Amino acid sequence: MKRFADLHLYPPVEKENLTRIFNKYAKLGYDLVGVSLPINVTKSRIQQLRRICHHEGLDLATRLDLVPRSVQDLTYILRRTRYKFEIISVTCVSKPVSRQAAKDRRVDLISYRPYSRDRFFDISTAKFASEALAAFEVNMAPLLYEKGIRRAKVISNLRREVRTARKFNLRIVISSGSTNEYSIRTPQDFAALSTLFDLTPQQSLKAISEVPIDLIERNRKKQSQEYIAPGIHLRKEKI
Amino acid sequence: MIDRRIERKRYIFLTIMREQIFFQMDLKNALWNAILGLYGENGASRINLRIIRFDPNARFAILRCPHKVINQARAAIASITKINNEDVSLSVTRVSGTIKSLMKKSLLR
Repeated sequence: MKRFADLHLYPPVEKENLTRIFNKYAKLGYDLVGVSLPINVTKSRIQQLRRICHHEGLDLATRLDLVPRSVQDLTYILRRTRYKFEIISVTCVSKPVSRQAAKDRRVDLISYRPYSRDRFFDISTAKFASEALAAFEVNMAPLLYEKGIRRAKVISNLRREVRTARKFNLRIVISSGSTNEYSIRTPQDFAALSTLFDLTPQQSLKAISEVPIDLIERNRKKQSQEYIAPGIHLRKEKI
Repeated sequence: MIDRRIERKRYIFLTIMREQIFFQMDLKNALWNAILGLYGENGASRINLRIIRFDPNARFAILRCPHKVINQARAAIASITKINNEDVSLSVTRVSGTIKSLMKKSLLR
């Protein structure tokens, strides 16, 4: 049976709202939710989120969203935060940042601002990101909340970027980017919406199920104590 | 034997999440506006979405569309975020070929 994951939720502060949101995720058939957290998040907050998630039968993944202004900023923050979070997403606001994020193996997801004129996602970025096993993130919130010309522009940009990503076998992740319970949809609904930018329903479902879950499992393995280096794991117990 | 001239249909079970109750006409307007916004008049004529049943208290609706455009219908339904300027979330919870099996599956759920 397919497991579904939404890697992008901005959690509200109130516990009641959180419970309602996670309950809705569980009802709509999700198994894993990636929660965007601030860089200085406390362990107690993560534990609180995990407790609520487990109560609803969901798995929680911690996520950090970075919007670095320069390459130096990006490498500095990555060095300090990589081990704390299960997913690191970089929103690229300039071409050098976009290239560096694509090359860096510590970056899991690359995303772009929906309305920006220069979205910096080109063939080279796609090639580098594909080699670094990163994924291109498509945030569905702008598609839901924009109307008219702005939505047409968002769809047009996404169509071009998805075509480039697929050309270089760069994996695509579809996430909701939701801030409240009203912007959460079923995985099948997101798959149907993804047909707007020329993904087939099968490819879209893969982008909500296999790809994000594989990404999380890979990072969890990396963060476990048995992991030493790529391809090297500790198999024997310590004496 | 299936008559090939008859267009096959799909029935959609729609779960509505909203605090305030609204009327069937509001849902109809929202659906048509969403379809027109996403696919234009030509697309809307092909999707031809109909409300078969609407229960504002139980917060569900059953819609019908041709089976070939089920993905477009789903996308249009998913793109609705407001009805009468109030936040709403419409989720397709089940799709079936007959109302009978749709009700059976949805109510079992």
